[in-house]
Amino acid sequence: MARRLHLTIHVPRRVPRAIRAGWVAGCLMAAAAGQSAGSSDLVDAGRRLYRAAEGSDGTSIEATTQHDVRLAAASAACIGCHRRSGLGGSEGPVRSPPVTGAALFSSRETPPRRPAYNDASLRRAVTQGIGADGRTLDALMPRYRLTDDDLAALAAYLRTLGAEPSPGVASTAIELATIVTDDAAESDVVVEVLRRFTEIKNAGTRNETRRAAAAQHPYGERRDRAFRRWHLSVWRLEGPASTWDSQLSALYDRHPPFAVVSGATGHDWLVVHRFCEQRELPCILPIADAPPGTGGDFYSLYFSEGVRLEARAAARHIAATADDPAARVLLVYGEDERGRAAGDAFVDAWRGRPVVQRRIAAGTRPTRRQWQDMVSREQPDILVAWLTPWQLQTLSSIASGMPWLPRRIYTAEGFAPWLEAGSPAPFLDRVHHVYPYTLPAANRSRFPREQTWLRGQGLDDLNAVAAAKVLFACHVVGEALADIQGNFYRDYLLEELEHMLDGTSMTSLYPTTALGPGQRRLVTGSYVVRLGRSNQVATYNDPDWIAP
Amino acid sequence: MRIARFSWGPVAAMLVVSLAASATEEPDGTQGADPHAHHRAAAAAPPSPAQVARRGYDVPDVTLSDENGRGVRLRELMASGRPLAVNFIFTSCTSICPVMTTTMLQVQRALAGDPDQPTYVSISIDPQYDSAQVLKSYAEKYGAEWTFLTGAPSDVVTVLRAFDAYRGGKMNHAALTLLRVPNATEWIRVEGLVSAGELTRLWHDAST
Repeated sequence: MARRLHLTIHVPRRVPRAIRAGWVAGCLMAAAAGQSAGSSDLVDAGRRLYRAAEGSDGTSIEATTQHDVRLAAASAACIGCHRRSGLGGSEGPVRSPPVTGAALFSSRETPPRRPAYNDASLRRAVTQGIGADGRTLDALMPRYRLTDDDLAALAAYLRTLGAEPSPGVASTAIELATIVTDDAAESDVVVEVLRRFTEIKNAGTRNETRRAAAAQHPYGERRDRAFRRWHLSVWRLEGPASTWDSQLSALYDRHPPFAVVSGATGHDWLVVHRFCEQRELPCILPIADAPPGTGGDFYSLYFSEGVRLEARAAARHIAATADDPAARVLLVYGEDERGRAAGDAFVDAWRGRPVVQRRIAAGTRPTRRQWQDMVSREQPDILVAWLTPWQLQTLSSIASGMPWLPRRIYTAEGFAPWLEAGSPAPFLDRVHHVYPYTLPAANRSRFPREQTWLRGQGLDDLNAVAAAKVLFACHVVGEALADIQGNFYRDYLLEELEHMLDGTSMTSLYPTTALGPGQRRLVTGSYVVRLGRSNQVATYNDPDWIAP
Repeated sequence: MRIARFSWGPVAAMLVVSLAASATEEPDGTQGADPHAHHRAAAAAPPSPAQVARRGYDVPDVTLSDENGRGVRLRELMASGRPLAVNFIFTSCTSICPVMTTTMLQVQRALAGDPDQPTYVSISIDPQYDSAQVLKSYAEKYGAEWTFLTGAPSDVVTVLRAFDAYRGGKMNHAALTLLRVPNATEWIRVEGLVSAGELTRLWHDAST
């Protein structure tokens, strides 16, 4: 049983000082070793119980909720309502109170008041639904069948929840980092926007620091009290991706941040993703073309699945709208990480239907001759081209003279941002373009709020889409840090983001954003538009919204 | 000598303290002796603040998708006279949805012998995330063999509004179950969580 024994060790005065020191250290080490050996197993067992409803003997625990509803296996786990942080949560009218050690094992002095829990009253609460004050707990709180071992493990684990605030938070400042790699096209955008946002945040134009100090008393405004100046570190990763993990470790150990805000890489984000999961470090909304799958991972939050989402949207669009079910499909993509991600995602979403694939060496484009051979041999009805305007230029230059042209050509914003690139003239009317952002209104800037801010900061020469993404990440983290009201736990930050970002009105970059428990992608759908042209400028018309 | 003599004192004190600690942790006898204490406590607990009302709804003419990706015309599924049990869930909801799904399973089991069993339907309030595939694996996880519906977000909102179940975002989700017994025109609207036994009783009371 892990319990805190508040021992005062009386050291005899007459013992020589050196021996005394050694004796105390020896005693403490023995006590610590004994406790951690026994208690870490106990805490692990408690964690399995809390997170997966697994009992100390390895079997699923039984629980009854709403008087007669017998919850099976993982549905009964505490984490469902009280969340990973243990700080609880709410859904509609249902509120789940905090169950961290600090909250449970001390009395609550604000209404509804209750005395501190102890091991006996915790047992009554979880097995019989009777609170420390003798009141019956809500019927939704499951009544569990637990052994003595289970209860000991649970109590030990709950005591670890919230026992220490997460790293990176001091009384007046919070450490944040951003991660850019030397091959990322957007790294300047990330750094410029974040630095400027941080400067403004720290300028104290709303007397935040003074208000935070004034709000320290118990009834002070909690959002004010939680204000911290941002201390931003820029982590620049250099060289091959295989060395990034050790670079990240060194940077982390020097200044462990509370969270990573935004970021950019020209490569796969997988190394950073794994690092953040391993260190339990929130990594909020990096610019990533092909972020890794997030199945079950907790700490990495992405805008979307990037080009994978765009590829799946195209597959779904073809399946839903092509009149000929036997249409021949030619898929062309580059042999780089982004190209492969989109190519594989398309084939996967195409679900075994026939598709001819052609891969192009990374950084090259098909010659006119190669296009002629590909198209005249395969005679595709549909060309899916995960290529850039530069890679497609050799095709458009010969399109008008070709005996066969596909009826539809699919392109995607992650490769071919036509609004910036101009329009592919000869086969313009055949292009179906996958576009995940809010549709641009005619002759209007696409992200008016963000672009106004950037202009005001003299940053309007930056890539508008990338800058809007960084700015959104800044706003979101700023809001969430205020909303957690001084509960500086990394797990709680992510739980707050899940809650806050469901239906937020904070962005105009994407047409809809949403998040929920365990969800780690803000956007799950995309437009497919027809490409047009007006006054030599590309336009996007006739949108279909696809949520593949 | 001195050192050795003095060093025993604190060790003995520690032993005493830890023995005392383990003594206080002995389980209280009543707990182990009465394994049904929690059942009695549950029976004595006040019922959850659920609200039951009778309401008529105009089922909108939209086509949603079931867990197999097949189109389902809602007006056909909910054709008049047909007995129905409907709830609103989303698969990433870890608090009340596991309870609602498990409750529905138990009601289905309890009514399995009835001549006019309801058609069971769960409608996702999170169509952006709950694709047919996601709903299928959710149903399999619970062994729930009934119709799970998703669809275009605008269609789902239309359906939610028609049943007065629209709450803005999914984080405002509140428990709601709708029952329609055979040949009834009105629905029994149950807001909040209730026991499986209570839902079964509501069904039987309305059917007779």
